[in-house]
Order: sequence, then structure tokens, then C-alpha cells
Amino acid sequence: MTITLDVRDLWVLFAGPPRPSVIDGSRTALLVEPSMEASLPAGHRIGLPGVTFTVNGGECLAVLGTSGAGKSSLLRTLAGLQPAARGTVLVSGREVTALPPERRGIVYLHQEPVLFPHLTVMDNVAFPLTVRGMPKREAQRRAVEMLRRLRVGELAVNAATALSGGQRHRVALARALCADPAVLLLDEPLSSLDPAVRRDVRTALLQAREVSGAATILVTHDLDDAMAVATHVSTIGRYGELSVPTAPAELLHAPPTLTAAQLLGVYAELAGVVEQEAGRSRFRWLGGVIDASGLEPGPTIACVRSHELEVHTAGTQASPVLSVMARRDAAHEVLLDLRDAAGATVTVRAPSHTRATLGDAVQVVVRHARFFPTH
Amino acid sequence: MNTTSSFVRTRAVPLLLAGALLGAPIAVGVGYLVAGALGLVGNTTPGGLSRVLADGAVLRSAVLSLWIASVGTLLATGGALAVALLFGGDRRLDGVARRIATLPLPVPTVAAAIAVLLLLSQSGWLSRVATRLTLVSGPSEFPALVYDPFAISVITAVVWKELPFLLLLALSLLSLRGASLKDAARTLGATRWQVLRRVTLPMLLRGMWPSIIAVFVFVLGSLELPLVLAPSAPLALPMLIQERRQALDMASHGEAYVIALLATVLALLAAVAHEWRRDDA
Amino acid sequence: MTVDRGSLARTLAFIALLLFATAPLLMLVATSLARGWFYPALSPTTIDTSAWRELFTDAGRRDALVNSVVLGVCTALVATMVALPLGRAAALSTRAVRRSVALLAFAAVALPPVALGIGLQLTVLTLGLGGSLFGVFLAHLVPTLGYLTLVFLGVFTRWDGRLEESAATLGANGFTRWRLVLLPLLRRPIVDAMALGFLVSWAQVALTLLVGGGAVRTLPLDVLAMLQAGQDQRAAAGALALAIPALLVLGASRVAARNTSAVVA
Repeated sequence: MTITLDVRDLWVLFAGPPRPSVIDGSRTALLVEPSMEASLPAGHRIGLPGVTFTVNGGECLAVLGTSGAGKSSLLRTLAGLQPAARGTVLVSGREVTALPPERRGIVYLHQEPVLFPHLTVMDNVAFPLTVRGMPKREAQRRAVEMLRRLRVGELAVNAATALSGGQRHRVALARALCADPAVLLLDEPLSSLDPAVRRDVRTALLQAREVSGAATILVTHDLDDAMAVATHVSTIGRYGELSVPTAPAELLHAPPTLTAAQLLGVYAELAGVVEQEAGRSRFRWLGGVIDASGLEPGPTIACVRSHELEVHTAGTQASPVLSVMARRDAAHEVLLDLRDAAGATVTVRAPSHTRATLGDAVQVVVRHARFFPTH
Repeated sequence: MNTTSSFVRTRAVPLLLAGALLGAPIAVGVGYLVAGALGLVGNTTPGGLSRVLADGAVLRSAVLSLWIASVGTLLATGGALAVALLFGGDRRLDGVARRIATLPLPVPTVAAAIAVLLLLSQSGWLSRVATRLTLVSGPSEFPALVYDPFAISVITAVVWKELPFLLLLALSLLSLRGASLKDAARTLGATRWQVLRRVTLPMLLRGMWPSIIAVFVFVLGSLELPLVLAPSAPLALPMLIQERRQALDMASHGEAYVIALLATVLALLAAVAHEWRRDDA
Repeated sequence: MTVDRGSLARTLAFIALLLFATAPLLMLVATSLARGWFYPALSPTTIDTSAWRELFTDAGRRDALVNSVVLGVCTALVATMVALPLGRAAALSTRAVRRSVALLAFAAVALPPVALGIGLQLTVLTLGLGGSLFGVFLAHLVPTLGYLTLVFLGVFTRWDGRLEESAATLGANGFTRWRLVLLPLLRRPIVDAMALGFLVSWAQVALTLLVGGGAVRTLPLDVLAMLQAGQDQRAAAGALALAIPALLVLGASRVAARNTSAVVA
């Protein structure tokens, strides 16, 4: 039997900001029906209206979004910890929308691992087995085996309260896997961890995937975490709009919407206008002109990554001269605040080897960009 | 620290049950008080509210009870703060001191009252010490600490019984917030005395207010304390109620219910104040 | 210099504290064992344990003791069984409900027992329960329920709901969650609550006096009677008999705390 998680037209309840009636982009996986809001119980708003997607066994979907966008609400609704306003959730073809959490075959892991303080590590991990009626000895044996597979077998007899951060995550994972779930939901598992522990838990997540064939959804606000662990990535915008799940590299290289591009955190946004001249469309911005064939005229934003942009000393190019107002060096790129003669400013991302510094006069060349109309 | 999720929330039915179980006996008790005060049950003549309020004895009783409760609570609070601040540390003496100070906590009030009586009465132990030290020459010369207008022995018993309760609270507040507040204040340049006066004490008092109100109200309504230690005129309010209730004439019965109702209203006001203060803490 | 002054102050304070805390109890012990302890003797001249033995041998005193124990245990059990679901329901509900229940519970505690007593006295007489142990039990339930509801309200306000969420998605249904997660973690609070409930009933004077109408004898009433009859030795022994179990119960729950503290964070 193949494992799948099918989410069809799911409307998730939470208190979110008021939504515009149309959300940008044609590649979003939602349909907005403002009239739905009128029939909701007082105090509730719709978070993610009409979300539809599928995750297969063995796949890991990372949902990328900022805090408060409803990512947790989505997971909790899938798990059955809060009711859905509308829609269906199917696990391996079986509809679970009306079932309580314990009967869905979906395990939900909180951001901070929640271990039962009155049980040892081994009994914690054996919990899902004992709950299903397995004899205690057998359950404990399997628990220890699972702990070993996640590289923490030696902790079996420890108290659950005496573990380090990374250890707690591994034990919680082991416990989840013992429940043999069809679906595993991870709510920002890496968010509160320092870099060393984060690497450790990322590895643990990958090791867990080797052990289990579950369909996993992981919610995070960090792109690196998503890229390291996921097979597919989706973004959630401020109003709860969810993008269609795509392969990480594809999302990174060609984000479907401006919101998605913003969430990825690697794009500089260049504001400008698309003009049509003699049958050719060109994007004009502070730093010059970029070819933009096929685009409608009007205000547009171009998203450019650091390796797609070059900064030259003034006088070598045909584009407008800009002066550098500020320079911030980041881990893999350089951010430059540029200003033109009229006083307008823009922030660009340039490669690390860029030598321009404060006060220099420069000219910018953009080799590649993605365009998002804002009209 | 606490996460109560929507999943765990419960529905209204248990709450109605809750209200019924908790509220019903109180409502019934108070209802009967009202009925008694109006002369509807128990063969009483209605106790006139104006008559009761104009009665000098009632006024004196109220003043005495309020005096006992106020001074007792004040001293118990002061004592608890002193012990908490003096012995709140980690040294061995501190731990021992704290355990000793909480000894009276579980002792029933009536036992505490009797113990204080044996110590402070004119034929009590302190009086005997005084005689031995030739400070006085006989029991009648020892100041009347029991059955006296200032109710000194009652107040002593109150402090003995209630100090441990307030002390435990003060200690837990200190351990919860004391250290970090103190550090913050010290690094901002405050001296030790200033930290105490401007940071620690206000923090403690704010957290202790509900309990202080609770102690006040408890002492106000206690029968066993004045029964043992202050049984003569003026009578403390609970004893006055009791006396009127036991009296032979029906008018007094009615008055007893009226006074009891007034005391009840006072207690309810205190309950509201307590709940209101809990938010601040 | 400051350190020395501080140490002196602390030592003096410690001694004062020691004397203050223990003097009343020591006085009770001395008085309970003293026969013919006349003024101005500082210590009893003859040691006599008759007052203590009488607690168990005299039929009247024994009845009072038994009544107190029975009332205490029953009140503790019933109040705990009611206050636990009550406190939980209130704590997990809206803020308004939580505060109303807390208010009601505190009112039950704050109400002067005499006032409540004469009201319930009429109730009990009307119901034909006047002078019965059951009537006194019902009266004792009022303040006890109040105290215990406040206790469980506090427990469940601090409760971590995620434990139950985890248990649920791991496959445990409602009943199993109570059995394997909630109750084990509530064991300590339940024991504490029952101890407190027992002590509240154990120490009651006014309610027993008024609702029992003099027909129900409990240990505190017995002690008061001895005192009013001028029998200090017997009164002191009775007072200690009241105090000692209370001290033991508190001590036992403290020991239990140390044992379970390693398990529960």
C-alpha cells in the first residue's frame, strides 16, 4: 500500500490579517472565496483557504514562511488538533478529516520536543507501542532498537528530563517513528537550536527518513534547513497563500511569486518599470536597463541573486553611474546600498569578491533576473 | 511556560456542574441567612438592619475584630518578610531557620490558641518567669494579655499561625524572581538598601497581596481564636454572632443573622479584592 | 564590620525565631504531661501520661477522635474527586470562567464559618439532618471544596497541554491519555490535595459546633470543652493530638515531594 497524504481544498482556521480578495501569481495552489468568511464562528478567520497538495511516502515537503503565517495552524489542522473549516484530508486514500488525532496515522512533533517527564527515555519511545496493546517487554525491545538506529541507544534508561537539546529531538523522533506513522508533521524542529545542535538534528531527520517511509511535512522559516532536508519546497505568504510544491533547486532558481522570492531570502528586489519600445519590452530601473521580452508594460519588480549581478568601476559601462552609500558583508554575498544622482536609492546583492566600497562610483550590470509585475 | 491548546480545552457542561457544586451550598447558606434575617425561618423576629447598625455592642465588636485582623496581619506579614529576607539564602542556618519557621503551619488554630493561652495568661508560663525574676509578685500583677482590650494574645496567636503561610509565599516569590531583579538593580547602580526598598520589597508585597487579604479575612471570621483568648466584652464579631444566636429572645436571633449577613458581604468583597489582586501578582 | 553586625543580627533573629516557633508547642507538651503544675513552678513537678491514655481509653474522647478522622478522610476524598475535574474544567476554559470559579472558591474559604454555620444550621434542620454526622460532613465540604478547587485551578493553569497533544497523535485515546499521562503526573498534586482537605476538616470548630448542634463530638470541640472546664492537662493533650497528625501529614507530603522530584521536572 502506497503512502500518500492528500490535502484537498483545506480551509484552516486561525486569526490572521485581513486578506485581499486576489492574491498575486498564477502558480498558487489556492482559491479564495471571501464569502466563506461570513459563515465562520465569531473570532475565527481563515488562514489557509483552499489549500490543495499531495505528499508521497518518502518525500519531505518543507513549508517556508514567516512567523504567524499559519504554518503551525496548517500542521495542527492536518493532525486533528484543531478543526478544519472545510476540506478533506486523506491518508493513503482513507479520509481522516472527521477522525480524532489518535486514529489518523499522523504524528505531530512540537517545536520543543515534548517528552513525558514521568517516563524514562525507553518508555517514552515505547509509548506508541504500549498504547496499541503491545506487551511491555516487546515494546521496550523495539524502542531500544529504534533509539539505536537514531544513534542514541545508550540513553534508554535515562530519565526523560535529563537530556540535552539534540538528544531530546532524537528521542522524540524515535518515539514518533515507533508509531509507524503514514504522515510525520514537524513544526519548526530546528528553529530554536544553535548551529552545532542544528546540524545534529538535521542529520537525525535524514537518518529518520532512512528508517521510515512516512510522508513528511516540515515547517520552517529558514531556507538552509529546508534545502538540507526536503525533497519539495512550498512557500506560505502573509495571508496564507501556499505555492505549489516544487523541487528545492527549482524553487530557488525560479520562485513562482514575489512573496516566495522574498521568503527565500536570497533575492535583491529592484523596483522599476517595463517599457515597450519599438516592439521590444525592456525593464528600466535605477541601475540601467534589462531585456524583458514578453512582459506587459507597467511597474515591475526584478529579483536578482548575487551571482547574477556585476559591479563595475564607473566609466566602463553604458548604464547610469551610482555611488555606494553603504556596504555590508554577509556570509556568501555583499549588500550594497546604491544612490543615483537624483537621490533615489536601491539595495543590491553582489558577489563576495566585489571590491566596491563606501563612496565609490560604480555601474551595475544584471546578467539574469526574474520579473514580477506589481500592477 | 504554559501551553494550553485548543485541543485540550473543555466544554461548558463540566463548568455548569462546577458552578452548582461550589455555588449551591454557599447560595443555600446565604439564602437561609437572608431568610433568617427577614424572619421567614427559624422562628425569629426580623432583625432590623438599622437597629443592628445603631447597636453600640455591634460596633465595638466590629472594631475589635478589625483591630485584631489588621494588626495581626500586619505583624505576620512583616515577620514573614523579615524571615524571608534574613534567611532566604543557601547557608545551612538558612535552611534550618526556614524549616523551623514553617513548623506552626499545619497546626490547627484551636491548638495554637490554647498553646498561646498557656503561655501568656496571668497564670501562664511567661507570668511564672516574671515572678521568678521578681518582676511581678503574683499572677494578678502580670499584665492581662488574655482577655485584654488590645487582644495582645489573640494577635500573638495570629502571628504564630499565619507567619509561616506568608513566609512560604515570600520565599517562593524570592526564589522565582528575587535574584534576577536584584542583579538587574545592582548593575544599574543601586545600593543594597535601595535594592531592598525599591525593588525586592515592592515585588514581594505585590505578589503577597492576595494572600494578605486571605489572612485578614480568615482572622476576621475565626471563632476559635477569640473563643479561647478573648471571650469577654467586647466580643469579637464571630462570637457576637454566636452569642446572639444562642440567646433566648427571638429578636437577638434575627440580629445574629443580620450581622452574619454583613460579615458575609465583607467576605465577598474581600474575595473580589483577592481575585482582582491576583492579576497584579 | 557590616558582616559582623549582620551575623549577630542573624544569630539573634535565629534564636528568637526558634523560641517563637517552638515555645507554644513545648508548652502544650509540658502541660499535657503535668499533674498538679501550680504557679509559679517553671516546670511540671510530676510527669503523668493519664491525659494521653485517656484519649484512647475514654469512650467519649475516643468517639470524638474517630468522628474527626472519619470526617477528615471522607471530606478529603469527596472534595478531591470533585475539585479535580472542576479545577481542570475551569483552568482550561475562558478567562472569565476561570476567574469566576476562583472567586467562588475563595468566597467559600473566606466566608466566616460562623456566618456560613448559622445559615447551614437552618438548612440542615429543615432537611432533618440536624445534629447528624452527615450534616456536619456536608458543612465541612464547603470550605474544603473551596481550598481544593483553588489548588487544582493552580495546577491546571500551569499545565502543559502539549503533553496530551503528543500522546494523542501518538495514538492514545482520551481514556488512555488520562491513564498513562495525566493521572501519573497528577499523583503528587492529588496526594497534596487530600492532605490539605483532611487538615481543613480536621481543624474545623465553628461549622461543627453550629451544624452539629452539640450532638456531634469532634476532637477540636472536645478540646474546647476540656479547656472551658478548666482541665488544662486534658486540653493540652487534646490540642497536641490535634497538632501532631497535622505535622505528620505535612512531613509525609514533604518526604513524598523529595522522592518524586527527580521524576517530575
